[in-house]
Amino acid sequence: MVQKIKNWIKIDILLDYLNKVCLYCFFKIQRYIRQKESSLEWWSQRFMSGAALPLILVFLVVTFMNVSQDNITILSFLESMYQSFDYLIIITTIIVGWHIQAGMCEILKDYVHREKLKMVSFFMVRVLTIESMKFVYFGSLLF
Amino acid sequence: MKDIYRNRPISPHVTAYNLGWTGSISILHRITGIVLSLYLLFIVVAFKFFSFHMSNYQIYEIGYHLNNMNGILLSIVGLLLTISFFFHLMTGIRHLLWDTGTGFDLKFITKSSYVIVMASISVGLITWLIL
Repeated sequence: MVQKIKNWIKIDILLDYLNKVCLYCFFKIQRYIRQKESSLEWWSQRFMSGAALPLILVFLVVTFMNVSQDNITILSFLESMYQSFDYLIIITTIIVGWHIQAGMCEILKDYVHREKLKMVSFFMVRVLTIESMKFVYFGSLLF
Repeated sequence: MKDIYRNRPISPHVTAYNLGWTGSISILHRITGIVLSLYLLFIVVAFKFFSFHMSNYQIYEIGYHLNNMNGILLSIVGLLLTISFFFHLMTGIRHLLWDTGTGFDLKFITKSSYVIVMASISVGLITWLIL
């Protein structure tokens, strides 16, 4: 009986130690995130625009290469686009959609001064971009 | 919010300032961004609308006539969109260059503004003619 109690006490000491370690790690991470959060929005905008640039250029080059052939309908044109690059269209829609969302949020922050309307419009912009991305994804399943 | 915050007096900002080349290009960057995003949204919404209501004959007729139309008005709209697309692209590149730290002197700004305007119009025309 006494040995059982001693075993329980050792587990208690271990749990106290683990608790302290976890709290220490948690607060360190929280401090790091709070320091870097202010520049996160700026860096995310620059990253999205910088990543969209080569993807858009590749997209344009691929369209010019495929338009010269005898493709009359939109579906055959899209099929030729998918044959060259499988995941190009989906990645470009995701990154361009994020870029659109960030840009429209900046404009809404500048010109809308009512708090409720601002928050609702942020949400609606994100909903619309995700709906359009879903549309592109479901359309791409044809190919 | 109370009504006193809605029609508060502000100093004149549109009627008083003469923007010139640099200011008008920066505001056009924002306007072209809005126009392009609304264009993409319009494509998605129109396609969904037409495909959902295809059973209604009148809406089907509208879609049929729109497909056969080759008018000047729609093609001018396409030209403006290609020009605005390339304009937004080039001013975006200029913004990224400003973020690295270079190009804050007036020479760079004037030269790059001329290059942007001429290149966007020419490349937009070429793409519109090809497509």
